[in-house]
Amino acid sequence: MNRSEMLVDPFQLIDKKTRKQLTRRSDLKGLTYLGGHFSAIGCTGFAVYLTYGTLFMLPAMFIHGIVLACLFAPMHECSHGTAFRTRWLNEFAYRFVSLVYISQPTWYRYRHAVHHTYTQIQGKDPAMVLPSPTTWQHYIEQVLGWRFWTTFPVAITKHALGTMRPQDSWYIPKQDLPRIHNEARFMIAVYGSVAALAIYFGTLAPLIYWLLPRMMGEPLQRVWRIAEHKGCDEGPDVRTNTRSTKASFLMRALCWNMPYHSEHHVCPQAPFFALPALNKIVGEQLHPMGQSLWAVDREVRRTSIVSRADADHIVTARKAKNEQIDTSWVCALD
Amino acid sequence: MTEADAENWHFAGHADDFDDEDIAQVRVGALAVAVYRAKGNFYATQDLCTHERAYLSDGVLIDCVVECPFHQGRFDVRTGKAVGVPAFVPLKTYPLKIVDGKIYVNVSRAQADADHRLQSQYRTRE
Repeated sequence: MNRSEMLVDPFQLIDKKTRKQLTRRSDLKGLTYLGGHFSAIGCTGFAVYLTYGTLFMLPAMFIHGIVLACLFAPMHECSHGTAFRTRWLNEFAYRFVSLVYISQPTWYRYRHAVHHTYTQIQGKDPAMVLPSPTTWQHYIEQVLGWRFWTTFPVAITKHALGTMRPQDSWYIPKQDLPRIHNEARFMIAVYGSVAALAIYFGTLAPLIYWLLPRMMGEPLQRVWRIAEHKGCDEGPDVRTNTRSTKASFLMRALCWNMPYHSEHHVCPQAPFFALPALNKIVGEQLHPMGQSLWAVDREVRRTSIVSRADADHIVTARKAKNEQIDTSWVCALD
Repeated sequence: MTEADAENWHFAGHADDFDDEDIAQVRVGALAVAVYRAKGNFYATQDLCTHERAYLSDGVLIDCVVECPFHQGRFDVRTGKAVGVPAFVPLKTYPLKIVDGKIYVNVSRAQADADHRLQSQYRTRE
């Protein structure tokens, strides 16, 4: 698919002058948000330290994990290059945040570019969350982040060994594979060093302050990923295949305004702080806004989940019609 | 300058109409050319992104780097070099001159047709 094959060219929804204003980048705003995010991580991490060994430690780790998992937002923003005006600052932040969040930067950038081209196209969109038919097992695995934690280590190990999963190789130019392989080696070396130092000093700190909370916070991110596209049209029209969702001030701040997801897909070059203004301009032309994350999630569960028997029946019927079906679950990485 | 040389220079707008970091599209036959004002200087490249079908004139120019509106692939407009994933293949650049405040881009009709034919083969990896 290319732009001319889309039902509507999203750039034509906004006039050029307005677009130029909305796409202006700001180092100050990027640094404010990133500084705020890491300050929040510091505060919640300190709360874990203060509650260490008490009953309050688990809720503290959970809150710390939510803030940590929300690093997806700056990671995603930097992948678009919209977090900062200064290029090197954006790239430095991208690599650092990816390392903490646990994502491979160049691989994610290619994967995410394909997601923007093939949003909601089964078998093509590598970030397609819960492609239909969806069963309870799929939903629970998605929400727990099970596929992420079981797939990412395998993928990064393959990259470090100089290979690539077959489902990824079609969208990455062969000439750029060495960069992805070296990136994976670097990340494994860093994570390995952290593990080795922790063992040497006999400390559980990386587990208590990073990995376990990161896992505990993952479900909230997974529910956000579901809300962004699940239940929207599985087709190329950007006005109907993506959903924005109302969120509290705190959640919008932690997610760098990514609840304005339709607006992001209409104009991926607009930085996070311009998305509310973009919503005022194009919001009415887009998929109806979800009333809350939990309302969207409830609706998705009510309307999209089918029994395993029904899912098998649907798959069989689609196969008979030669329709493309995504059962690879590569989607759950994003 | 021969008559043929003169024919290859195509009017591309008035320099005064460009603010810094403005981009405009001009057509030479079917070929789309992007004209940029970057750090006070003017440059011209092919308008179609080499990664996927999107016009760079819809994109963002920061300093001397243009960013594709669709996937944020990046190119240096002075050289055409791809400087940001997912863009990988460089852009074609075209000579440009300003005479009495008017911008002219140098592309022969034959070159424009050839470049347009080449670009029409760009496609998303299927």
